[in-house]
Amino acid sequence: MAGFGYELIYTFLTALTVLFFDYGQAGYEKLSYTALIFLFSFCCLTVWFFRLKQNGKLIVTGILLANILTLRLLHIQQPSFFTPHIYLLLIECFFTAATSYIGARLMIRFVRIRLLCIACLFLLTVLSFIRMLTPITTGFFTALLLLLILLSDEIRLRWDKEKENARSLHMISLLPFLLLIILPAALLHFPDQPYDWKPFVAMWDHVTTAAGRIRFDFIPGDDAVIGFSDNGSLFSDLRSDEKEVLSVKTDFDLPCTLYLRGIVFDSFDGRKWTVKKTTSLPGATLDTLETLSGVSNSDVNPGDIIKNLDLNLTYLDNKSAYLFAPLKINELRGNTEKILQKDGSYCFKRYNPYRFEIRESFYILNSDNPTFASYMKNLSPPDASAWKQTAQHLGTAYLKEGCRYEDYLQYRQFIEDAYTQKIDLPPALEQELSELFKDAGSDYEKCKLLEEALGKMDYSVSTDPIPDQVQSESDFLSYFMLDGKKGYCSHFATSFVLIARSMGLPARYVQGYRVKVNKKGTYTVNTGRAHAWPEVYFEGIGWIGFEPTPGHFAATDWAMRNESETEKPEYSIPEYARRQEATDLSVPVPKPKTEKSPVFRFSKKMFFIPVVSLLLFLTMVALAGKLYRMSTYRKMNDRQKYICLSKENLHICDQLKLGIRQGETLSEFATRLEESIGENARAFIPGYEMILYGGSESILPDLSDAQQSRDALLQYLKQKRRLQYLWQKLF
Amino acid sequence: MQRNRIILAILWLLSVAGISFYGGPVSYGLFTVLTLIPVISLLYLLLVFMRFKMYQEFTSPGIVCNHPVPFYFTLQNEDLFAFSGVRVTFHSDFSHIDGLSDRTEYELLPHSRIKKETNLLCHYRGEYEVGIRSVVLQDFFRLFRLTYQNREPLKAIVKPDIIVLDQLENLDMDSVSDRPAPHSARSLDSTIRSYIPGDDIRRIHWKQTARLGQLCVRNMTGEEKAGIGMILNTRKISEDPAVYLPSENRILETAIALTLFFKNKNIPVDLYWQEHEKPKQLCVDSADAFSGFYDAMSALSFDTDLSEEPFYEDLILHQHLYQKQLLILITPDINEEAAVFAQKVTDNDCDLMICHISDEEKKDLPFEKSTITVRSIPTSGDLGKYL
Repeated sequence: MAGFGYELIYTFLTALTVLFFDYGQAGYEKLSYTALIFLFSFCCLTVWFFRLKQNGKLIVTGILLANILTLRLLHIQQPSFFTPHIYLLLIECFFTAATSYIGARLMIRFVRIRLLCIACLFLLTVLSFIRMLTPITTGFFTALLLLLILLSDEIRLRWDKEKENARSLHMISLLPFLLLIILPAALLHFPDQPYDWKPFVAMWDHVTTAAGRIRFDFIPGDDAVIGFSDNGSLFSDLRSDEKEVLSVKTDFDLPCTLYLRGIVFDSFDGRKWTVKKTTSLPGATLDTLETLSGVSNSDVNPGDIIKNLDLNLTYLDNKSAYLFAPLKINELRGNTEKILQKDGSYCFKRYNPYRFEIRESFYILNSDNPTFASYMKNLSPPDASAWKQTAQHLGTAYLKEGCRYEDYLQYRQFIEDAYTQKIDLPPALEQELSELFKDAGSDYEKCKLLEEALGKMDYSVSTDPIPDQVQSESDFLSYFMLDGKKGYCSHFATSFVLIARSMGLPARYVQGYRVKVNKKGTYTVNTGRAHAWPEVYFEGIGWIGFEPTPGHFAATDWAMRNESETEKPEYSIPEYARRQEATDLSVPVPKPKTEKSPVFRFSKKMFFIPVVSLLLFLTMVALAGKLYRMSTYRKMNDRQKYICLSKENLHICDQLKLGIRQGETLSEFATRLEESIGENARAFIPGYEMILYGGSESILPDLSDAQQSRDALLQYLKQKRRLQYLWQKLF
Repeated sequence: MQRNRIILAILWLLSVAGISFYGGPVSYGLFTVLTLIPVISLLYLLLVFMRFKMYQEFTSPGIVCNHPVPFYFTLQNEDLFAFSGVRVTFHSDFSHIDGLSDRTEYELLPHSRIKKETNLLCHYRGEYEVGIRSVVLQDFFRLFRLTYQNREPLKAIVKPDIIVLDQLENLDMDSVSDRPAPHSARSLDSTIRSYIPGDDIRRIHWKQTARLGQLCVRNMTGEEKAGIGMILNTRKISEDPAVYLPSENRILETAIALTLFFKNKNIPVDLYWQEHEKPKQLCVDSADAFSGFYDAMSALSFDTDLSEEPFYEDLILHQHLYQKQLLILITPDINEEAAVFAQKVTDNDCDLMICHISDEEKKDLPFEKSTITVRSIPTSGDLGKYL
């Protein structure tokens, strides 16, 4: 039984593999159950046929013929089922089973063929893996199962151990474990996309974050904006360092330039900016309130002047004491307990925590829109009621102490004190400036003209060191505006602030990061983005930033409502974001094939006809065989008859499990027979012994002894095993 | 096994790379299969570990050193799946099993058993584990190996071997057996013992009998032949069984062999040793006595904490010891205490033979060798050759 199972497994799996790969290449997605049943049946019959002896082979042939007859009869009755397709399928399954059996026998018997099959199956696996072959999925796993069986067999054969010659039993007993390996893979549903390793990436992030956190705690803090040589110094060469310091994630599609303010300076000594004047007032909040009060108090549509945007800021490799945020912060969301306002900017109570994240809601000004300048002409500082109304409208955060109208007045006084030092301009510069500002209608226009003029100068990251004789603001202006005339952002920002102050405008020098955004997304800010720019205070709107550095443009503007939308859309849809056109319908998409499952209607005739035809066939074969044997027996001489009868008697003894044992002599066997059945059963043995060992052909034992034994044995067989008795009688 | 593991690891890594680039049931399926192979192999090993049965026994009631006893062991598979690789290792430090190798691997098909009948040979006297030491299981892909110790080890109590000596080298038996004891007619009886039915009534000590209220007889040592005195040093020389077992075994073998030899020559032997810090003495002058002596030697336990100095000092005080024709000291170590004892013996004009049981020959002996016979006897080898 084990041997039958062993050969059947090899045959069936080989046949399945061949069929699945063949149909897969033809474009089919699966095989019908009809095909599988046919294949399995033919495999069973093939294996059985070759394992049985003559009578068994006849029975199998009978079964096959009976089935063919049944099919033929059924075809007449159900022509819709028995289409040519079915017959082709039958023939294909039959030949696949037969050839697979031959292949399986060769695999079982010859090592080289087995190794060749292992190599072929491995190759099939690899080709399927890299999509050069497209088997039906089940076929791939069938091939894998066959490969595992071959491997386990081969490993066992090469294993130097004490073992019985029972390869088949060993393999069959291990088959459940092999199925346990294959079945989960075959039954689970897998995605079509490659694996994205998200959990592992997340785990890796956790590990690196933890490691970074530990390392971060050992790094000393830094007051300076990373990317600048020193606190407020104007050194000669900028340090180039591409270290990533911030990550900015925007959720708006407005192209603009974000100026993330860090440190705000008030005093310049010709060489370096410092902070000399401090206030505990929340300058940033007061600035926002002033802007909003001014805008809401004016006639313009607030949406034309300001927009409320949000961004998420994450600190990367940056241990700064300052929170980088744009002007006009509306609200900070996150771990705000660690943040306080100081001198017009935000800073941490201690240094920023590792990978600090915060959401910043701010207002951006439509400052690069040409009509913004005309708005700026009609500015007026808000009164107390407008202030209170705005604060109440914005929320309770704006009603608390530090944000009252009185605080605002106090803050304005601070601005006057801190950011409006009188500066004596060099005469040549004063003359140039007066020429520049001659057509300016307002202070804002003057600032814009100054911004433009400075923007036309030369930008250079490598400049000569500031001469030693430059010891004041005037000296610096003389040096830079009249002699040097080239520098980088710090120089231009400083010049702008000093000139603005000379015009009587409060101006301050700011260091931070400049980030140009085009659309919604995440932007990584490295030290190369460190920047300095000036901010000027205008009553009624608060601080406004300018960009005097050559080659840098703020470019923040959007269409106002009174402008034509066709001339200046609010934002342009990037090309990639447009909806994809529908695919070309002229080329038809091939549908996946599925082998059709024909409809089969079962009727009682389908059961009876093959059984009856099989029985008829067997009966005919039995009768024919019996007649043949009887005829042959009649032609034998007595000696031959005795031998024939003795062999038959021994065969009956085997069926009764009383056959002669290994190492047992005939006399011992005879004794045993007599004990089990009776004296008559052993009667043939002495004669048989004489024939076997007598040597002479003339020895002739009594035939009746053999017949007597036969009768006794048959009688005993009839009592013990009736079925085998019938078989014996028939065949 | 290593090769199979390496192949599987390489294939698994390739499949991991594969699923990073290709989706679909083929790539993920292959990855799953390669991941499940070691898992199922381990599961199989676990099942075999839980279901595997083995039996071992030796049928002989008493085991004697160097005498083989029948040994049987059975490996059994009562399940429906085959046990692909089972290897059994045996205790081999102090015993040996014929015909079975530690390297043999067995395959057990479903409902099959392997029964082996062989012989167990114990090399040393003592109590120790014999038979199966551990079992090594391997899975059908030869990826993993599981070793576990035998949870029910067989313990054997092995008696020392009785070696029959034909002669003793450099020992004149005639002089030992015929030399009269230094005994005078008026020497006092050295011992008195209780009356045993069969004793000569002329030997009854009436005074002691009246005093004690029971019949006592004299032990007239002067009337008996001069015997042999044998002193055993029963100090355990090490806690490591590989060291002390061979030594103890040899000490006892020597004592038994010599006692048997003298008993066969009709020469009584008086043995002295210490056990559990108490001095013990036994006289072997008959077959029955020898049987009792053999049992005593089989059960003798050596002690690590034994102090030799008081033992030797006590022996020195036994004056009758010097009346022996020959004193034999069997010791694993010839130290200062033994040397003092040896010196005392020789001072009393008594012959002394020291059997030094050791694998290293002691070169610097703490006494003059010419007066004392020293036999170096290693812990292994034919004892007769050394005696």
